[in-house]
Amino acid sequence: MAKTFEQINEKIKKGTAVVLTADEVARLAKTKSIEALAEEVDVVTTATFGPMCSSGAFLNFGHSDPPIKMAQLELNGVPASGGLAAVDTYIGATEPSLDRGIQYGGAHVIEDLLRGNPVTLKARGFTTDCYPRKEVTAKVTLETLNQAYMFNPRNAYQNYSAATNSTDKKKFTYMGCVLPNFGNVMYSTSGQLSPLLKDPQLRTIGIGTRVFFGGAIGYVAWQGTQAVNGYEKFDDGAEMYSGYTLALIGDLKQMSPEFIRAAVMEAYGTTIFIGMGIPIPVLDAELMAQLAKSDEELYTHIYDYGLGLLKKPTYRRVSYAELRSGSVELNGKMVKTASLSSISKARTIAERIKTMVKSGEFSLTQPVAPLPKTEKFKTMTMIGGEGI
Amino acid sequence: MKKKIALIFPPEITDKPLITELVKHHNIVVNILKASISGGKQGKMTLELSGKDSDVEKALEYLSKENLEVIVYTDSVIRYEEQCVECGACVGVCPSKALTMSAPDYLLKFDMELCVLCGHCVKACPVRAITFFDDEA
Repeated sequence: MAKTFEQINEKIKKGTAVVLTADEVARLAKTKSIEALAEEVDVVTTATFGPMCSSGAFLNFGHSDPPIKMAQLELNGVPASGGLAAVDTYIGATEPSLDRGIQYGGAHVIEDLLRGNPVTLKARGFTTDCYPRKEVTAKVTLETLNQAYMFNPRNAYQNYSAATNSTDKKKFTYMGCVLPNFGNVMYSTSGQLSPLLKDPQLRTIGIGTRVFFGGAIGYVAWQGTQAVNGYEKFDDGAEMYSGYTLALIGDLKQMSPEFIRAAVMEAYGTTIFIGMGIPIPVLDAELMAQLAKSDEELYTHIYDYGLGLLKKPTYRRVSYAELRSGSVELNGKMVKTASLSSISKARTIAERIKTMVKSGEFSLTQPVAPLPKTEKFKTMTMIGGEGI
Repeated sequence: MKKKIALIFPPEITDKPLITELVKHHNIVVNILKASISGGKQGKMTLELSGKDSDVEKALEYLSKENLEVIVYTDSVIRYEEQCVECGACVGVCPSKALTMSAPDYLLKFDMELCVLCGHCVKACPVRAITFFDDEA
């Protein structure tokens, strides 16, 4: 029997909703039928905690007196956008500082703000009749900011490639250090907990969907950048969804450094760990069939990150259960695997959302509008030379 | 008994065959983990000594009498657990399976016995939750 958002929310209100994590549902599905599970379970919680470069925060500092229209600004030495109104900015997570490079970047400014640490703002302005000030230096904290909200253009990757390296040199990438001669396989998706792998056709996730974001309540703002509705069906009947992403918005002032952490990828750059998750209403058995999929039934491909190419050679399909086991077979050899996204943190988030939904603190939202479908991933049209 | 140690050689004694001494006269099995030695310059060698308890102790006593600095590692890497986010960036680069994450809890585990003191994990850690013993000293 199909259920509606309203019916499920009613149960949440009454305190009778059955809420399980995607881990728990995957385990139960080994002994129970999908139909029975769809009947019994109302909400399945999903989560991920991984480095997500396309992240950052909008900040408003309040005006100085006399006021300034900031054109160039730095926060603890990290350049932030001067392309908005007088005292608004966007600080991008991957922006390196002018003095310490990638060792301290935009992500660290965001984490410092979250921890309540004071951050030094230095700005230069155009002088205008209404904004006569040329320069300003100020100490700001999260509390002194009028608004501080994360707006992350690309989070919650549905399913990301696993990385290996065929060359004889170490490669320092956003997937961490990928060792030479197929020395390791790095991956970064939370498998059976991954939000967009559990509702891969986005039946319940759309614009306006309430999500757990960095320890606070956030919302799906838009389709994430580079999102594509990727789908493959293999000869053995296995299916693979990949490529969809979400743009998320949420109040930085409500977030916690437990779920938002600055990171440095060796010889690559600054990035930020984002913890997020989505409770998914069990509308029917068809959706439960996806929600109950285990790491054994969810796959990605292993790609060669050694060559520095956009179109990377692919080696094989691999299940998340294989990746989780610590080693996978590649070219006849067992190769060590390691996950960049934190399994234990994702589990903590899924459990946290479960508690929030059960207590009525987190009700489910029907999307305001569906997320757009994108079939093809466009590449850049270059002018001139093809070399580096 | 197994002990992981580092020897820091002043330039004057880089030509002294200390390892041979350990093997031949102290019955020590020496595993060289890392070495950087060139004549006339300060050198550093990281070793694992294994042998009978009394032999290892005598060997350490012998080394302490030589004109060099001996560091005995009781722990090789230090992890700040409250910093660690339990990602596997360090596991990916660890050459000796000293750092692992596995079912059921997928929390980071460190086995000092297996550590070869390479320090790759320190650089790979995205949240700087690992310090190499040397950095502390």
